[in-house]
Amino acid sequence: MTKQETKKTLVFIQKLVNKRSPAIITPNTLLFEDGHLDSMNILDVVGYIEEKIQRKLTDEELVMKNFQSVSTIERTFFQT
Amino acid sequence: MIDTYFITGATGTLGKRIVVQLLEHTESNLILLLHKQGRGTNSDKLLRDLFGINNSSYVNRVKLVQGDITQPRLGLETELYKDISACITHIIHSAASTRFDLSLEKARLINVEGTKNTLGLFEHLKSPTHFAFLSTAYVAGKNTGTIMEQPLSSAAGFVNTYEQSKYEAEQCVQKSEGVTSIYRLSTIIGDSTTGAVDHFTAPHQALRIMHIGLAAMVPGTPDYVVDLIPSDYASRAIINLLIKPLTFGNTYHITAGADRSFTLQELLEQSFKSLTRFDPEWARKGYPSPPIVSQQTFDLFLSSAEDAGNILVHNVLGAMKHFAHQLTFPKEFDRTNIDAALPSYHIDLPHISTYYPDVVKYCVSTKFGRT
Repeated sequence: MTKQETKKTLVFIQKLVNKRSPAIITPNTLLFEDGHLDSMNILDVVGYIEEKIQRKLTDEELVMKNFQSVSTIERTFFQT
Repeated sequence: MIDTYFITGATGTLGKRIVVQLLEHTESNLILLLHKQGRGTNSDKLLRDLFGINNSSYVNRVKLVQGDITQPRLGLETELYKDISACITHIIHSAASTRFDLSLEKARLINVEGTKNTLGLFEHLKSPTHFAFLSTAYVAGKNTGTIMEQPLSSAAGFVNTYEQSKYEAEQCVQKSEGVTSIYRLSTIIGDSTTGAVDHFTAPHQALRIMHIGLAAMVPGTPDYVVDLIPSDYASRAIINLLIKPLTFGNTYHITAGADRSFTLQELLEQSFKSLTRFDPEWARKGYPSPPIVSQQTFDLFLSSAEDAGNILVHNVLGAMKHFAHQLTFPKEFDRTNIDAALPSYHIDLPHISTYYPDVVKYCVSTKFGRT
């Protein structure tokens, strides 16, 4: 994933967060654990990733540890 | 003397509409509290982007201040706090966290401490005229039957921390010595003319769960009245209450009532019908309409979902526990005060069947706010 793509993911997550709070998100912010995103936001994040990689995520990939932060998402889904 | 309104939560669903309507229908000046970590201080740009305000005479009547309702003196500098205290006459406190899944501590910090700090400003005003508090009809919590427009008992308990923290915030307002009003709003579903949704809440989440085929069942009874109101209507009712001096000092239910609402069974049927109509791809998947079950059956279903390793199942169904249980506590909201204050209120309120399909269409076309 290029820096620009990481930035796009950060912007996407930041928009989700800003619907409810003014918190600033960094690549290592714990998105769900620290309450920046709520349970339902997982649908937005999964939808975003699936659009980017143009395939459905598998059951094995749909585990919480893969969605902890923007960095985790980047490492798991976007690094080839 | 021209009134000056201080508004918290001005960037929220109702806050935005209240700002625009106060500018259009009164000559009042407005001071809007924006969060310190928020969108900066370029007021012209903010007013244009957030509220669609281009009219220069409107812009000149609005002052933006940056603060934080959870902080003493709302996080404002001492001098600024003193200056605005000298000119504010009215306060509209609409800032709140509407998340159902926050810990009680976090929900209290924003909803209770935030209200106390805003009341602190009201008590500090040179000419305090009116403090209006935007609350929720669901401060009624697990109470059933007719809910009156008056202080309520908390003995029945609450379904989530949002209900409890707003109940506690109401108590702070009721104890205040100034002239206060409490507007208890039903769940806002969308705009009655366009179907547009500003903020996706419990009913949209439930629809979304149905849309992804995970709504295997819904708790409640088929004839439960699901009280939902359109955002444009709610803001108009609030403005009319605010600018009518005779309506100060009371509690009002801004709700729809049974004759303008779907039952739970009807809501499920209409949701199914509208999803089929507006998302043919969804229709082809052939998801069944979820049955309505008892709370015990639903709890068993949720506990099995909580054990699931798949986070879509775990998170999404886990989210339902924070709001779906309200469907097992049937209630209707008395409207004596609001009918007296706004006699045409109920006549003008459209039945949900006239605009709900547009709301579903909006949800589907925006992927529930993602695009």
